[in-house]
Amino acid sequence: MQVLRPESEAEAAALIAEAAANNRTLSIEGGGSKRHLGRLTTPSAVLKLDALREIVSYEPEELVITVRAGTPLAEVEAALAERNQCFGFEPASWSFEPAAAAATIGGTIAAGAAGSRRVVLGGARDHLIGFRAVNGAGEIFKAGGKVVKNVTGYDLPKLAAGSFGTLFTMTELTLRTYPRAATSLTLAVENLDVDSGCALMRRAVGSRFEATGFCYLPRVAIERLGLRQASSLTLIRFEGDAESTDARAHACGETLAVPFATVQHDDTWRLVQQLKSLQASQVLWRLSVPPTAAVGAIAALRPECFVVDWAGGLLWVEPGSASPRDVHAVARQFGGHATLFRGSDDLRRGDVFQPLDAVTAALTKRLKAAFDPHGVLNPGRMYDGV
Amino acid sequence: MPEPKADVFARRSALVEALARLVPEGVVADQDALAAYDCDALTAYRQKPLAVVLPTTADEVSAVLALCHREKVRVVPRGAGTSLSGGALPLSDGILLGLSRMSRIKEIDLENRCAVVEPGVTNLAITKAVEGQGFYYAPDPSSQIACSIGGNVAENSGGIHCLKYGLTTNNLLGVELALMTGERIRIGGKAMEAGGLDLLGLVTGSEGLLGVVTEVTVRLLPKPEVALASLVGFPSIETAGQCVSAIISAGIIPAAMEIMDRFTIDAVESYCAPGYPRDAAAILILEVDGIAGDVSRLLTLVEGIARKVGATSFVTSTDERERQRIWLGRKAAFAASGRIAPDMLCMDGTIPRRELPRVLSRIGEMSKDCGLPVANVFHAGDGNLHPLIMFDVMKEGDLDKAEKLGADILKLCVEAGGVLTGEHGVGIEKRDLMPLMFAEGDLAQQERVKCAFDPDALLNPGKVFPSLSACVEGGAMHVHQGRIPFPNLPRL
Amino acid sequence: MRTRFSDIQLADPALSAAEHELRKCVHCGICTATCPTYTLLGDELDGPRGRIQLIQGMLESGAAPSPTVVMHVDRCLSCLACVSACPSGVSYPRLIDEARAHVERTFRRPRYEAFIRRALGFVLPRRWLFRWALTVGRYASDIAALVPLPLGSLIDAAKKLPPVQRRRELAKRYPAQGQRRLRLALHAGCVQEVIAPAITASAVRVLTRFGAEVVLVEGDGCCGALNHHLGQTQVFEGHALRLAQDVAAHAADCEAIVTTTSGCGAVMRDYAFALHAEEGKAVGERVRDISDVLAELPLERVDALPKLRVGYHAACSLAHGMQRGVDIPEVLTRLGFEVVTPSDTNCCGSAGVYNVLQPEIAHALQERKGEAVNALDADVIVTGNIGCLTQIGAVSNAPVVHIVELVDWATGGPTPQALRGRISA
Ligand SMILES: Cc1cc2nc3c(=O)[nH]c(=O)nc-3n(C[C@H](O)[C@H](O)[C@H](O)COP(=O)(O)OP(=O)(O)OC[C@H]3O[C@@H](n4cnc5c(N)ncnc54)[C@H](O)[C@@H]3O)c2cc1C
Ligand code: SF4
Ligand code: SF4
Repeated sequence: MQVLRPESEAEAAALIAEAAANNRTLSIEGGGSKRHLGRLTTPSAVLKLDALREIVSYEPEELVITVRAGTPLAEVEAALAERNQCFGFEPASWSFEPAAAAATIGGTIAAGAAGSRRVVLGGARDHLIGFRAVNGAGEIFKAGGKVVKNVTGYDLPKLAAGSFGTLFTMTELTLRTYPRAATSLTLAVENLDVDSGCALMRRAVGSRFEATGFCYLPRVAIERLGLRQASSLTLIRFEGDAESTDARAHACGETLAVPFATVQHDDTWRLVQQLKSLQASQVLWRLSVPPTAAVGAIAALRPECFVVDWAGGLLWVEPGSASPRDVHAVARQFGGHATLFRGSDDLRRGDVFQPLDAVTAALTKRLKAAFDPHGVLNPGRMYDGV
Repeated sequence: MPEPKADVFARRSALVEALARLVPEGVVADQDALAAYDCDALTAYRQKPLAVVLPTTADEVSAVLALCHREKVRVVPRGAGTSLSGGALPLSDGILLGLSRMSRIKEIDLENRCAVVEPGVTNLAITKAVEGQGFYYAPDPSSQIACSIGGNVAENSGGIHCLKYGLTTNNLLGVELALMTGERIRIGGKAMEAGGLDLLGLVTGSEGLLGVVTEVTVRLLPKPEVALASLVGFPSIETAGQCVSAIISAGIIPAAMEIMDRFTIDAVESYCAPGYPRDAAAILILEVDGIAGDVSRLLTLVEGIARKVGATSFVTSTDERERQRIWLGRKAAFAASGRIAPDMLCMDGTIPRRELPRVLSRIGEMSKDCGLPVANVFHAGDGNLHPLIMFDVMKEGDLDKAEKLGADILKLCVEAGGVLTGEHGVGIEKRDLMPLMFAEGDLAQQERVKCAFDPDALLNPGKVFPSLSACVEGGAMHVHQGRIPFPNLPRL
Repeated sequence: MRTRFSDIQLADPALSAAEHELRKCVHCGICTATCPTYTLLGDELDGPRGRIQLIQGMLESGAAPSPTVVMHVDRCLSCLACVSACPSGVSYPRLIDEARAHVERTFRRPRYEAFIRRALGFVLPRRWLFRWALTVGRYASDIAALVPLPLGSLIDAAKKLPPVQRRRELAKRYPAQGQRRLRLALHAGCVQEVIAPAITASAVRVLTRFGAEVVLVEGDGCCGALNHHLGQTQVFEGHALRLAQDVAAHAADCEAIVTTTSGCGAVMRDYAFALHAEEGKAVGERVRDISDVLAELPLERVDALPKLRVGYHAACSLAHGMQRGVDIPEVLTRLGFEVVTPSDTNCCGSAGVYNVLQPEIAHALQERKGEAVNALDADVIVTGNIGCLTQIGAVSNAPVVHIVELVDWATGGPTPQALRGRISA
């Protein structure tokens, strides 16, 4: 397929305008690491933004960084680390392909790829504060600003995060940064069944100890990761300086009144972000549900393997024999939504995202048209026509 | 404002009757009584609405909207009417849709750390309802005792604790939204993420232009083990500003950092005697929270930084009552301005923190030049300024002078790399200043979003956007063939 | 805020005072959510900021307000929660009082309503007449069903009151026990003297017990508050003047003028404004509520006192009208009681004759207060205003007594009547 690689925002705009004028469609891509996400599309060409690669400005004392959309995530994170900072949403490098390394900041935000810390510090949506972009008519526009607190005009950055490139093509992003914790300490509890594990995490997240990660791994997941023997692991992470994490982890453990161990810099969190324990299956679903619904949803799906993150708010599920229709029904029944994260091309032609009710679907289409009236940008990636 | 529709005036009595059928006992049409609804907390602009409707249920809201949609009548939503930007300013040919009667807390779900409430519930009422169980709702605008959560969603309100805990948008899980047609959609719920496009994020801060919020699910947080507020005195407001930058640069994010100048300190002292230092030219109120050990360590660190920058005093609250009193004073600051001058305009620009000292002293000069006093009380940690311009509407020319000064201050903020409004919204007040920040194309793009929700421009038109361009049928946009469309090189 | 009064209007001291307050209001709306009628009815016309605007409109125009406007002004309880809330220091009484007077001057009420208001303003301040009315009321249960609502609720209220007691003869002066430490004038309210004369007796006992000489001052027996809230300015001023004269004649040497009904105290405090005379100032500056005085007395409890859980309701007239009440519960804590306060700090709906004139709202507020008070699971409820006493008494599971009665008992006086048989010493 033809790959278009604009060298500048102006070029990107021109290419999109041309595509719009010629009724062509474009697949918008950063590094291509998230190509497998969303519905299968058949674009006329790929618009690859990896040449828009630059840290435009970084002001650590303002906790703000501005980067071009195609800058590799790793490069940005390295720059932050140099100044003892990081992204609060813990960008997840979900990927099954070696291309993970190619993940760009634009793609990461467009896919809303947030990690375990999202439960406390918010997702990609909460950290993008401004951007420049090209809409589907080839017009350049900007939204938001370069300061965190800003309500001037609609909050389009929120809309950008998780829109999978279906509305506009971001060319430059301004993100908030966060002081990097000196250490992390994980409180690990073994052998709880999923019900007790989730209940424990809910108590921890509702406690005063400011933990920044809550996940649960059943035996299958642990085995696949090749970790120690246990029928399950419930992990609660504390970040900060050593004295603080130590005090909080132990106080939390005692409050929860369960036998626990503490592990410094537990690598499991990284493995969880990378979905390492879920690589065996070809079909993987991501469910966002109310934390108390986690156990019910898992029971209803009877998965071969699963991982619980966000204290029960996020489920990664290998659904066994459940069909997309089943998974969506379960997600709806439990007050959440499900997204097909990995699946065959066939599956990806159907409903990948949770189907919308008629009014919301119509509104979503009008919104798409407001940015991309000719359906040039990633058409169909999220929903039919969107 | 948009040209009033003459035909709507002609149909007024029929409309009022129809509304009264939909919302019995909930229509205000008496001309004298309507005067009490002619503005929100921005008093410079006033307009009586055609009528006020006060529904009690979401179904009533839908019915009213559907009627207005059919009849092509404009609607302005209103919560508690504390907006400082005139977001709830009525239209002469429009219905004012007041949500104050929808004030039930529907559900408190502590296991999922959330509460489901109607839009008219006050911000503080949510915290009051859950504080007994050790939880609270984090965003705390100074108006929290009065403002409604629906208004908070519409304005994406902040507060003194949003430095650490975020604005309204960062603390919502879901809303139910009535569209102008009367149709209602649910966006999100108790799950952490809503599916599909992030409509929740889009609707939050949309100033009542996209839909009417009929239910809100807010995220609750566990109350910190310890929260202590410190009062730090400074010889000048600029040094107080430097201290804030220094603290953030040291990688510390306190729960709150607020600055108040002498002016405001005096006004507030006579209201509630919070015990602010008498000799300081400015104070920094700083809150640190967390577990006891962390709090005391952080305070030591912060005190060291403050002293180095030039703090003249550093006193920390010893009990909860004292802490509450310190904040009571801060929260009363705008509203206490009536003690200094009969009228105020409250500006709301945000600037990069490093610009604080420069911008503050420039504002001081501008105030001197135009002869109107400006008090400064603001969310320093976020760089969110609130210059309070004091004036007297009854003095010939004062209002014009105040508005001009306000506009100049906001221009200064934008030039310094900041924005027009950090939390109060654009409303009517800053509408015509939008081009300072956004080029025509940027604004056109935002207006197309409005069209997607409300193609007939019936919902709160005339706010936020300087021009109300008609929505194009079918969303057709022009693509200029061959010509690369660059109409919008940013102006700044 | 901008106002539009003519110079002629501003020559009127009452209007000019109102204008001064209107100018101070910055229209922030902070007060609205603290207003009981707003929280109940959800219409800004029933909140302080809305009322202020309605009042401004009527005062500026000078004309008769519309019936809708009058309805919303009438619904104000004068609880003054909005005054406590207002950071700008707007003195709302200057506005609502003038508005009531304005309505009374310019607005023709429906005949029946006008009659009720006049009757209330005439009967209640006259103890003999009120006593008589209550006796009739007690037997009027069958009539209640036939009469329109406001009167019906008056009869209802009368039925709930304890049987009328003949008034004790009161002496003019009571000497302090032991060494006299101070001299206090005591004002016993009109309505209170009729339905709960024991309160004055308790007050005399407690004050004299701890070293005060007590001088009774009465004027015509009424401070005028009821007429004041009905907008009956002249009648109010008549009562006020007589009381002020009485104080001047008999209590010039008293350190303070003590009221046992904070509803009276709140109005008396403002006599200086109402009377524009030295006498008025002499009263206004010295008025103190009994609770406030109790807080400063060297109270000593008797030994055999049960440890009671006491629910304290701060009367609006005390908390907001007189800006006291925050530390009053400490008086009770010092005496060894466990003190709890209800979550609902709104007005109980009594508010003078409000429960008669606005029975529906008063009832709703009463219910809300009742729930909150009963949730306290207290042995006894304590407050400092006769209106609250009867209003809360009707819905509270626990007996309700005046704070001075409880303090009297705790320091050696008789067990309050309401507690007899319910609590063993
Ligand atoms: C003294 C004072 C202090 C303040 N302090 C702060 C502060 O610290 N931080 C801060 O952020 N703000 C502050 N504000 C501003 C104001 O309180 C907030 O903007 C608040 O969120 C407004 O809420 P409201 O219910 O009063 O809304 P309103 O003023 O009634 O309406 C505001 C806007 O929201 C829309 N709206 C209201 N309800 C709905 C609904 N249900 N659905 C859709 N649209 C709706 C209206 O159309 C209007 O555009 C302060 C205001 C005052 C007077
Ligand atoms: S006095 Fe009470 S009822 Fe009247 S406006 Fe003020 S708060 Fe409301
Ligand atoms: S709080 Fe005070 S200044 Fe604000 S609206 Fe009420 S009366 Fe006016």
